[in-house]
Amino acid sequence: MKGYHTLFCIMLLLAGPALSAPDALRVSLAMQEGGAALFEEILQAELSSIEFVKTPRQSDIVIALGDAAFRDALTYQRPFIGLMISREVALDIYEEGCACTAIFSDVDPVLQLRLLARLFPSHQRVGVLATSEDQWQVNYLSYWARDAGLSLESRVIKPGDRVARQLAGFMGSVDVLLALPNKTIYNPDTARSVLLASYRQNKPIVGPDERFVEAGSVASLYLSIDDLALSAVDILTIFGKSRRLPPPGYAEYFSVSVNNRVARAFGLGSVDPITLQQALGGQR
Amino acid sequence: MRYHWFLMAAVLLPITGLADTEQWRAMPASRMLESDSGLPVVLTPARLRQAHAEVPASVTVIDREMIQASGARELYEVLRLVPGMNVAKTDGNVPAVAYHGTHARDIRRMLVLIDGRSVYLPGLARVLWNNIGLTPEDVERIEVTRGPNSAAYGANAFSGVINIITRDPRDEAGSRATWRQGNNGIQDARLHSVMHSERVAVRVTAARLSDDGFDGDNYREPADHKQLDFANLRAVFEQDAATHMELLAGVGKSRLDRPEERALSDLGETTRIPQEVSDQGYVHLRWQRLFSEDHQLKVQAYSRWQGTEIRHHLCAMDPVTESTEGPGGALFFSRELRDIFEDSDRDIDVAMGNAVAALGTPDSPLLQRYMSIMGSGADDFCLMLPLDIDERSYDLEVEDTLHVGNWLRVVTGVNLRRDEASSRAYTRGEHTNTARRIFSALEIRPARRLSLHLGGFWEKDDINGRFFSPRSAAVLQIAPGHGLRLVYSEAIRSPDIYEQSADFAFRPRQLAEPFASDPGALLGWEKPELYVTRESPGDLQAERIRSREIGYVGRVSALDFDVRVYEENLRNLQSGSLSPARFDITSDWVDTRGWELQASWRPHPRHFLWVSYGQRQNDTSNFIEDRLAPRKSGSALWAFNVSRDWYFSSAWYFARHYNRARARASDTTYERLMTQLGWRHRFGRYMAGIQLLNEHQLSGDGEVYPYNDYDDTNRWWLQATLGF
Repeated sequence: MKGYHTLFCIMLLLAGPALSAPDALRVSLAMQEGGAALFEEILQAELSSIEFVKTPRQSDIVIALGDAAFRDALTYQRPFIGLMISREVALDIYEEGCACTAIFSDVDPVLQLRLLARLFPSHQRVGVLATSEDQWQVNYLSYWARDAGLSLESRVIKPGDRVARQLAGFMGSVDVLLALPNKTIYNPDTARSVLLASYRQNKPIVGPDERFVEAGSVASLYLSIDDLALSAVDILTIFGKSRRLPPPGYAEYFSVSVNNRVARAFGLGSVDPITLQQALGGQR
Repeated sequence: MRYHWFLMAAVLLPITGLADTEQWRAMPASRMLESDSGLPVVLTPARLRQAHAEVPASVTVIDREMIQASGARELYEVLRLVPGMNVAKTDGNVPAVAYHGTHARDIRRMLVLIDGRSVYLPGLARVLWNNIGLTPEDVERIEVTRGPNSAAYGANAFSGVINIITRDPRDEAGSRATWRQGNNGIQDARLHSVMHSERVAVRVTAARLSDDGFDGDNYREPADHKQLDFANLRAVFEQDAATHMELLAGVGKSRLDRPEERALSDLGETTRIPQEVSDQGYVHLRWQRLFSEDHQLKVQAYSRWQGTEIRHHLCAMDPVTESTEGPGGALFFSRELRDIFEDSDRDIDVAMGNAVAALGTPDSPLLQRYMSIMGSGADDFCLMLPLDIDERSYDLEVEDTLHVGNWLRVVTGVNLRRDEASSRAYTRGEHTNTARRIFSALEIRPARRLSLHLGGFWEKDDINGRFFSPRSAAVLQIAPGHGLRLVYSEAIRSPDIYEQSADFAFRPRQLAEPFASDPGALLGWEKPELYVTRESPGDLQAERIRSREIGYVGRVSALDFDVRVYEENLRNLQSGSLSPARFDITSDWVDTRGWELQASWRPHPRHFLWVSYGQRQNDTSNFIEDRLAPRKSGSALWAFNVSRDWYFSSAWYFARHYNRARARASDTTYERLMTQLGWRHRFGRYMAGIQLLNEHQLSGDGEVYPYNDYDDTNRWWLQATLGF
């Protein structure tokens, strides 16, 4: 009897921490120090039952920021969440089999198209430049465009094509250009000729991201740190209850970036990004 | 801003706490992965461009889609889409394009610019649409300011300004060849090619347009066949991210059959259809620098020239026998008849009376000259009489645009211009006119939705002295895309070199022997001229216009519309004819008031609709100023992209009650229906297209005058295009 009592006490001692915080999820962050501190702050504020640990081996789940960290997380033998992961990398790893999920670095192109439609309700002919890798996006967008009464016209950019040359004749037959996130098409080398053509022909560009908006496109959706963190909170909540992870996908939360100088030149007046964000459902 | 996230967040967060975390949370997540996108902030003058609802003027923009859907074969025809614009070939094959047209050949009260270069000719104060050297395919868009705008563009932006912007070679690719053939002698060809390198883009176009013109009515068949040949070039060089330079150049030649000059019709018989031959060209340099998104400097310089000669071939009539047989017609070019004309105070009727009397007086110098001519043994007195004019302009302009905060926008500029006109027939030599100009426009925003505009153009030229043209406007932005504007503006049309310096001297060429080798002996002077001559008194005053308008521009879903109500007062108008027969200097007036509407609507991505309508009341002191003033005019355009390869468009144009002032029989209506069906397809890097177009005449009237009519109510053509 005395032996059992001792054993019970020892077990109680060992299980103490677990019993004292029965739902606490141990999370490690695979990202640079400054980012980690910020995420910790945000996640701690949103989730009470969360505990941050230093190393993946001590954790129940790892949060990895970026493609490189996401790939490295495969070696930790822990479930992991990727944030700001390119779609190809995320799906490749997921399809090979992993206990993982990811939030894509790009926003859902249909949401980007909805932003375009809200900004320019009278512009019904939407142009899209795409490489062969983007074809799935063009097909995906076509269904939604048709339902929304928009006409989606695409021009394929082949390897070796000059983007400016392809844009030249194409822009004349559309009202507005939807820029898909494709670094082959929209990059520091092509940005100037693309944006100048947009200005000359009076055809606004929406997308592909907030950096292009700073360079001179009208507006774009983008993922803020808060959007990512809230996406992580949702996934952690599901994981905490069911120990399951949803498949990789686009963030449900997003923000809006607007270049008001350019917007005004295209007759939009002053545009409030918060109002747009709410109208598109990007806030919690 | 570049964020060194790991450092800043790691250091600052513990210090600053949660409140600043809110700021970091809103930042793009991508910054956590990269500090710099490498993307340049592309400088464009976007901020310097006014949004459509904020422009303090009534503007109609015709873009490439509308140009293509209009089916226009020649560029001037596209202007029919503009409300209040009167477009007609009143004078055979010479088009008149006039906003709130008045005079039938009203081609002198509008300013037309191509890429900032004026094509208004200073010698005879006109814009010759046959000689501007552009096809509709060369044009990116046309911006028409409806209403006087001398405050921005100087003298001669009288009733309005047409600003043609050609396609930037950076927006085009490849080469394209087009062939067009139809009835009415229509035969056109066009070839253009675009070349790109890293920093340079060049487009070269060559084209020929020709047709047989009108067929006439039962009483008159106008001779108006035309052939236009021209080539143009536009080259853009991007010096760096903020600076670019352009070179534009062009040459052209036109051959037009012309009607007989009325002043010469009493002289004898025309032996050949008069032909007008013109050569023209231009060289134009532009330099533009963006110092920031708020500040831009533009410098442009151009030189433009046009030489025109109308060749009249006739055999002069013997004034005694009234027959063209024999050399007696030479008397009209004799010194003695000129002396009688001068002694008759330059009145043709009085001079003819005195001449008849002199021929009946023995030993009169005129009778002796006649006998000398008749005794020369020469054949019929046949000759070629050239009406020539060479016009050249040199222009230098500097324009600066600056934004100050969100409340002030300033445009200032200086312009120096030299016009030269040289004509043996019209001005007996060369005349020049140098103009110096300063202009400025201010846009002030005392409140977010209200902008006030003040502008003025001050100029001084040798012929006309000093002028100042003011403009003021207020624009209230009721909502994004909606603006209410009130505009007051004044403008002038300054008399041209011909009007101020006319001195007619019609000197025959291609004289037969013995007149060619010894004119002094046979005609009394070494450089014989037609006996009629006339000089301008040189004191013509500028025509003036004052305009007041209320306008509203708005957007509802896919519908854009603009409404304008206006009143214009034109004063000191030179309505009378200025010809060798009469130099009828007048000071007439016109009061015009009315309203105009334009609307574009895209109910479906494949459909585009455009409507324009104008109604006006025109009161004038001289019926001549009512000829090109229809009471109602308008257009409707429908463009339908049937599928990826097929397209269709139809346009209806009408103008009711041209030329109604004097005789009801001449009250004409212009009404046309254009239909176009086209197919185009890409085959890899090639493109092929076929287009069939028909223009159906709905009204039975000629264009403004009854004889400007076609035999066939349908004018059609087929066009084939190959892109490579």
